[in-house]
Amino acid sequence: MARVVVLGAGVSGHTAAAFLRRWLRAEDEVVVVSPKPDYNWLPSNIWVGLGRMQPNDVLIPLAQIYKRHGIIFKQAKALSLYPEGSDKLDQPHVKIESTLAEGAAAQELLTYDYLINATGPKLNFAATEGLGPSGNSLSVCTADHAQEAAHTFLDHVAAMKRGARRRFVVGTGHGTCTCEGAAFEYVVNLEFELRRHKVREQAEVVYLSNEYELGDFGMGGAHIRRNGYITPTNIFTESLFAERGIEWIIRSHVTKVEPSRIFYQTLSGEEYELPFDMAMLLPPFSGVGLDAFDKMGTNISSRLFAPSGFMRVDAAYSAKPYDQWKASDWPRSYQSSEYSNIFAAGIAFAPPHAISQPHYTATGVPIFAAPPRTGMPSAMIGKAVAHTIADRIRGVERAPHMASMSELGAACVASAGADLVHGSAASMTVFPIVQDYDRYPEYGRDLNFTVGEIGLAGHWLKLLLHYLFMYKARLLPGWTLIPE
Amino acid sequence: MKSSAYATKPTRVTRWLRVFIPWQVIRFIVLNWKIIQITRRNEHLS
Ligand SMILES: Cc1cc2nc3c(=O)[nH]c(=O)nc-3n(C[C@H](O)[C@H](O)[C@H](O)COP(=O)(O)OP(=O)(O)OC[C@H]3O[C@@H](n4cnc5c(N)ncnc54)[C@H](O)[C@@H]3O)c2cc1C
Repeated sequence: MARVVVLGAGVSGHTAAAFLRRWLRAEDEVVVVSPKPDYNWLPSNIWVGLGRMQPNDVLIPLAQIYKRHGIIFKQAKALSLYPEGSDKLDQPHVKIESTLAEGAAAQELLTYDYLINATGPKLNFAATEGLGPSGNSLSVCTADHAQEAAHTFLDHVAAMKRGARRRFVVGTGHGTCTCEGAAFEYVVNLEFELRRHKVREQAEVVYLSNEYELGDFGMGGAHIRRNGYITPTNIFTESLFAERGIEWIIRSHVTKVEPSRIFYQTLSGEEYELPFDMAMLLPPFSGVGLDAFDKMGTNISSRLFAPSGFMRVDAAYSAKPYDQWKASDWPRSYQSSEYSNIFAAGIAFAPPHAISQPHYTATGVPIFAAPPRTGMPSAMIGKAVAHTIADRIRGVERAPHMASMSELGAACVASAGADLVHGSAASMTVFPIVQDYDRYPEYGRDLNFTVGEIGLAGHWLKLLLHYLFMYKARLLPGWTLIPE
Repeated sequence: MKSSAYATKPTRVTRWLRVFIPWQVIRFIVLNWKIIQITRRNEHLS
């Protein structure tokens, strides 16, 4: 009998656990540890954040699903890893702490044969003074945050219906943020909702971002074929903003958020203030802060984790200048660089470097988008890691399964208005996610599979994906037929 | 703050096509086909 422990029940961990249960023998155990009782389909939080969906529409309680499928669920958070065992237990184990109301803070040592770290990001609001829901700005990174954003938004809409004017600022709350796609999606949806509520005239909508160019999205932008031209995504994004009267500020690092004022610095070193009535600013991400100890109790966290807190895997981490970055620097098997029975999947792995070109102010403040790890690659990585572990447990001798972001493509549909007849979305696919200039010398990507377009079809697609992925996450009959 | 002055803007026909249902049905099929192709290539990798 073997036991695989999966830390995290997000896109990556949930996918890995579901496939492991399918591929392992009945006597093997799959244990999922996650602090929250629910799975959150994050892409639809955007709609929760504007009152078009409720948290229940994007959350799925996990306990019943896991019970039905023979997956052991521990509602707890992982605190520390002991890959060589400790003075308390010889076997590799992880220390977890219950988050259940009745057993809150009860700790347990959970042994494993294989461990998948799929803990996603820590939402690092503390990086910027006053950032986040417990400070002076809003977020849509969890269903609760999104619901709070919706209440604030709808209060402003009500005030605008009585004649008030408002300024909405949406974007990134720090110079090193990632996930700009989510901020982009929120701002265009917000603008759509203002029109739907017939208060657009009284609103100023501003997108504030750390991106060097609009449409960078942390992947150095992309090039797409359009109307006889090869067009960079900044043209595509600027056009969408211009059409909708959304103003933008880029190359910016938010330094402080006061109750109705954002302070930010630009790449050229200038400092500005931006008054607002409502601000939805994403936080930078870091690892969730797991510690690791060797058999002697020595802290070995710096061997397992990068300074960002994300786990080191089979990537080329040696620092090198931007022009020497290679697609082959990116990890393929996601096996820990230190222990062959530990893997990191989804956002939890440490990228070797950014994808977008780094930029710094004269005083060395970094202002550029960090690499995104969107839903599709996170799920693909979870599945590949599950496959490798299942092979090893069943004694199948073959090379690890690969899911390099420089070989994987991704589709991202950014809703730009939720309405079945008048709605729209910006649908983008890129192949591969990380540019590979050896294979595709001109643009780093295969232009046959790198597309972008705006229209109602995208909204239908986004809605279809919502229902398909909610169905898949419930592990209902035929879930394996729905691609990652 | 930057705004629309120098940005490309869609013509009225483009905006109309974006919500013209027969055309969008075709685009829906094309987009799905592209995404399926990408997932196939992804599956092939692992
Ligand atoms: C608002 C928003 C919109 C997005 N929209 C899109 C989109 O349209 N398309 C797209 O492709 N991607 C989108 N993304 C990105 C996508 O959601 C992520 O790529 C994906 O969720 C990453 O999966 P993950 O499993 O690595 O992390 P997560 O989904 O964040 O899961 C991490 C899991 O680990 C758990 N965890 C945390 N700490 C611990 C701990 N100490 N111990 C155990 N478990 C722990 C968490 O509770 C969670 O269950 C969006 C993200 C956001 C925030």
